[in-house]
Amino acid sequence: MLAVPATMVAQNTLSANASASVVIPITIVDISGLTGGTTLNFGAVALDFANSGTVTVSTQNVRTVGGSITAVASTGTSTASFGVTGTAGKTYAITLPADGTISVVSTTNPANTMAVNQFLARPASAGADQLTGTIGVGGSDSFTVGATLTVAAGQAEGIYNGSFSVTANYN
Amino acid sequence: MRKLIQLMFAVAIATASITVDAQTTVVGRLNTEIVIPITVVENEQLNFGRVISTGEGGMILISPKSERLATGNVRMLDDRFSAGKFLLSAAPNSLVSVLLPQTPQKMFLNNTSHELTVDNFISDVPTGGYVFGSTKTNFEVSVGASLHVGNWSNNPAGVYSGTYEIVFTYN
Repeated sequence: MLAVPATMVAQNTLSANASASVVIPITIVDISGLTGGTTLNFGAVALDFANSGTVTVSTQNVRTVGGSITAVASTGTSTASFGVTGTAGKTYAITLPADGTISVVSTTNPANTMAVNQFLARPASAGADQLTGTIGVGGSDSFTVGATLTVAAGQAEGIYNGSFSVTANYN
Repeated sequence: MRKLIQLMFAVAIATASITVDAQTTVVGRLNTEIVIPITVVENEQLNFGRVISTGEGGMILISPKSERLATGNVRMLDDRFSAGKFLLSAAPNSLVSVLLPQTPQKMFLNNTSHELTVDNFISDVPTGGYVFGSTKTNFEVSVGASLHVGNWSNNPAGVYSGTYEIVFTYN
């Protein structure tokens, strides 16, 4: 007769496997190297007293004008440029300002403003204008931002500044 | 009596997903400058004055400084003549270039096919354009050219007139 001590019954083997997936925090950093921060710069444009116009800086820093305004060719333009770090292989979504929410304001008269709309982003990982990028094997990606500025007929001359926020989320 | 021992094996697999800072936001800057458009007013016509053809014709040259010179079989009468003069207005700290006619222009005797040719347009705008200073918004541009006068048959007496186009551009 085999007697099994009760204490042995209580010593059943329990095998437990545990794994953890740690996601590196996603961050955006300014990679422009510009003093004061990354800047979407439309350069200088000459107004038209009778007609409005637009200035677009593409995500590849190509400036085009529409309507009756004239670009001052020698003035430089720039896209805003951002670096993204996070977990390699993960995709992320870029959120840009909605139309109608961003303006630039005259440095001499805050009553003078111009709307900035049609923000676009171009992740380096995508090579195209889109709002989804992929963190590379090195744990980073980058993207540039362009937009369109609307200049009213007879817009007051001067320097205009503004700011906008960009958000990145893991998908 | 044999005691049946039921061993209970439990396998627990635990998976942990640690997500930290799945969203990040950064601010970009916006910048642009609005400048006044270029305006031009003609202060003086390019006027070669009165010329007498004494044979097979010749050439009259007027410099941007309104200095007049005759070559060939033409004589100048000592009367009113002038380089073309234009009052150029542009934004301070801007660079404006001038594009003069690159092909010969014509002047015609009233309602006839008799024509004079004007070429070699030259201005006093420096190579590369005129730089407006920080407080300067006006500059008088002077334009000279060469007039080719034919013989009596081709260029009978009378008043010849024509137009030419100059393009000023922000650089």
